[in-house]
Amino acid sequence: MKHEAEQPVTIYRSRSILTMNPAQPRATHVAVRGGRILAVGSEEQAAAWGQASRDDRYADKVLMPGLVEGHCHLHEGVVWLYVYVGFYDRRGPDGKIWKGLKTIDEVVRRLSEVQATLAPDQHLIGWGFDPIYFGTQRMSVQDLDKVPGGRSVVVMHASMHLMNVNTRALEMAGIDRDTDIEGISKFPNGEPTGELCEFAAMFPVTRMIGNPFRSLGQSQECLAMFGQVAQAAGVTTATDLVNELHDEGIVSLARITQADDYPLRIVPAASGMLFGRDVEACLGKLSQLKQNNHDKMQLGIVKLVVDGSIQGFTARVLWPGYYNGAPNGIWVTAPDDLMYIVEQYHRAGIQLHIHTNGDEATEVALDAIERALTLHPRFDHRHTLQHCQMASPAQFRRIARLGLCVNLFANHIFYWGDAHIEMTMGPDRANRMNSCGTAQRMGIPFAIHSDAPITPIGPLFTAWCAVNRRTASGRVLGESERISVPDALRAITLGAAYTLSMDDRIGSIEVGKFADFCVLDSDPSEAEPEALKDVGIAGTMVGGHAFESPRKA
Amino acid sequence: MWALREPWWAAMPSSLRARRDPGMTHRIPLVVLGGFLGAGKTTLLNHLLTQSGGRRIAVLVNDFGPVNVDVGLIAEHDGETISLTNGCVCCSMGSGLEDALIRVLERSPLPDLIVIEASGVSDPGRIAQVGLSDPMLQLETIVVMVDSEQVVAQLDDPLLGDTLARQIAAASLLVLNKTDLVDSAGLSAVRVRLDAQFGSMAMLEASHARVPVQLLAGGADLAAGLETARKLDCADAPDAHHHHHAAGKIRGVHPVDPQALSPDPDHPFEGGSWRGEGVLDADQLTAALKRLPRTVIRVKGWVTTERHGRVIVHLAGGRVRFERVSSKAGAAMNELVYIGIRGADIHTAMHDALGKLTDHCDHPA
Repeated sequence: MKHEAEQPVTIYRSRSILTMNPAQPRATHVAVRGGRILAVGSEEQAAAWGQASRDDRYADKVLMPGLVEGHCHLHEGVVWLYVYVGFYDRRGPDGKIWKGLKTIDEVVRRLSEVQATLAPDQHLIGWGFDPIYFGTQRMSVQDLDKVPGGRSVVVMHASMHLMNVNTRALEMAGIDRDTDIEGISKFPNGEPTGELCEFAAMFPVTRMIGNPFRSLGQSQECLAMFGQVAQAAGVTTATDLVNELHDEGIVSLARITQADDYPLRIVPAASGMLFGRDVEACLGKLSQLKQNNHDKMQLGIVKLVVDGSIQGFTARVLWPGYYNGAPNGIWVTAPDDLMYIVEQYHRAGIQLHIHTNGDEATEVALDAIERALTLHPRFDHRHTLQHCQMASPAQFRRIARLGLCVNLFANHIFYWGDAHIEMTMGPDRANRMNSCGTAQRMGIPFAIHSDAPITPIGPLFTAWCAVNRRTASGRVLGESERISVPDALRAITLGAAYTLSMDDRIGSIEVGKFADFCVLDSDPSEAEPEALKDVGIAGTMVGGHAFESPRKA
Repeated sequence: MWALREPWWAAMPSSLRARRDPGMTHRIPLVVLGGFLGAGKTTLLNHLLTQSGGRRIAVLVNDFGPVNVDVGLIAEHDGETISLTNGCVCCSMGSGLEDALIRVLERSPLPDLIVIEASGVSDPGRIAQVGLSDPMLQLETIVVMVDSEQVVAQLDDPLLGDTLARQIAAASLLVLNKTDLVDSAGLSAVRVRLDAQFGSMAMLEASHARVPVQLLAGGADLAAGLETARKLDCADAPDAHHHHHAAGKIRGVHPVDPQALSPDPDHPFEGGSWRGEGVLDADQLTAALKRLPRTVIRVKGWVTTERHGRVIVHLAGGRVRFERVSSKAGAAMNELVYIGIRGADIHTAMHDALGKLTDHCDHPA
């Protein structure tokens, strides 16, 4: 490697540069050396470092900091091995837009087309289906048996907690009218409909198809697809917000991400659940595997999960509970375990990312953090509540006082907002879901996220959700929790970078930071709030390497 | 109090102890072990792994941390699996229950018994249902352990009470552990509370998690033992295959007491067999078995139904499963063996539940 001062300087000119640095919000030129930002400002300022080559590829584009997805999973790269059958349009790794399927017949048609391309012994696997968009109509074997070819057909739901299968798959898995367990839907005549819910009902099928959704995330092929999908959405840093720390997986992740042609920085969060109360074991493993860290892969944060999901009625909620009367949800980590585990990680100086969905789970997490902070005061811990969907104003006040960050699940408002009004939370509490406005007013550092593959990765869409708070049916959920376009743009850049303790390197276009840019066709800060999601993304730059968006088919 | 001893069937001739009658099932018995942190699950699992009685037991645990196997017993440790010299393995579920269970079901040779440790806050009943859906598995028992000293306070805890109640409600066998920490008044208070909240159920008392494997896999072993005993009984009767003659003797409920086969008078379980002629209605049989009191832990046997023909039926974890196996021709007699808690009058319960079925079915001439 050349001595740093001898490395070439490239000056990029742009129609406008949105820096996200309030001290210098706008610029027209940015100089890059060795993958980092050398200068930003006017042409003159950028040229001040002497000899430089000029690159005008972005001359008619707008640059903003590379977008940061603070809560997604590498499984987003796995799902594209299979056929997308969701309700909304979704962009694949190759840039192709897979049209949303508005009827079950359309789902069957797409599956039929794809099955013709498979080898004879392959299972046909679809993903992304969500029954909530089909009213009372449920997919069944009668639909999936129309797919020709005689092979087993498996359609994973968007939540990943349910699947629909055809008769052939039921036979191969040994499920019939006598299978007397929860989670197997049956017709009035007692025969299974093919809809299977949760672990026990799905397991025989999961075993048959080899559990791909959990096992393939760190393979070369799936990581490549993950990179492509994220890159097309303007993302330059993405989390893998539960990583099981397999030695080989981390080594391969480190090797693949290090290549200049890999378009993402990846931040895996160690799975605290993997180690339970054996915090020492996690710390040991983490310190060993952190030796693989480099600029584009950074291990260090730890993820804990307190409860389940709201739409699955497994989140722990406070009085008055679920609107439809469903019993309270489940603990994934017991409250007293959480007290102990949080204290141990906190004391070791680890930054925690804690999944809480329901407000009871949030309360317990706040108790655990308050206790840890009382016992072991620590400045700038940046522990972050992930999802934190139902926090009350009082809980947000505690979050602010304890110095916590939140990463709110804004996409939920669009995808499940109607279900939250009608079934889970009721018309009042649904309005306070993912209260970005409250977080903003209280000065709580916050990000917003997709939880891909649960919803599609796309920070501009996520920002649109936080700005407009429109549900799929068009209702506005909690008008006063809407935030401005600039605040939402900050949440998907510097806000998310802050929650990852990487705001010194990414999240804004400032001298010394990585040359990570999102390249846009127009200026999102000038977009009408309703049009924010439609701002075109032309590509990204990561550490000075340019990536063009795949052409849309 | 009943204490850890040799299994009651250890006294039986080894030829009668074959656990897998080739005409019966090839499914792997599954036990799911639930209960809060501190109830004694790990202690129990350590007992199981080191005193496996010659079986290859695969134990799936949440993390290896608390598992404390003697280093001398460890044959291999590959990160996710610890293999012991006695043929047992301990597998981590760190990458998810699905992954761990798939790995165990791909092992060669397959384990003789799989035990899944449910996490302290999960619902063992939900996990256990995999033993009723996957064709490679047969659920035997959902064992839930509670700490006798803590259980009442835990049931009253506003954050945890509902979680524990779900676990206890799912148990097919509840182990009241750490009884050495409570006096007899305290213990009866616990029993009163549990009875008031959950009704009558199968309970065992234990201290230091000393519950032998054959009680956990009670269904697999006891049922097999009873079946063997019953066959022996029939073989002794020269006219056993003539239903007309034998009917008076072999139809109905036949208590077979483990005590009869074992010198141990304190065995906490008892069992029996039930025989009835005719073709049963599958739905009625299912309903009858599901109505049995929870003190009947496990039922299995051959029946003939209008829907299945000759088929094996199981009751485990309060749920019924039919298992189609290419059957030996002949005998249309329905034969079920059952086990439950001693002294809970399970024979009467079986008689009441099943007698009605054969009263209404076609008896062969």
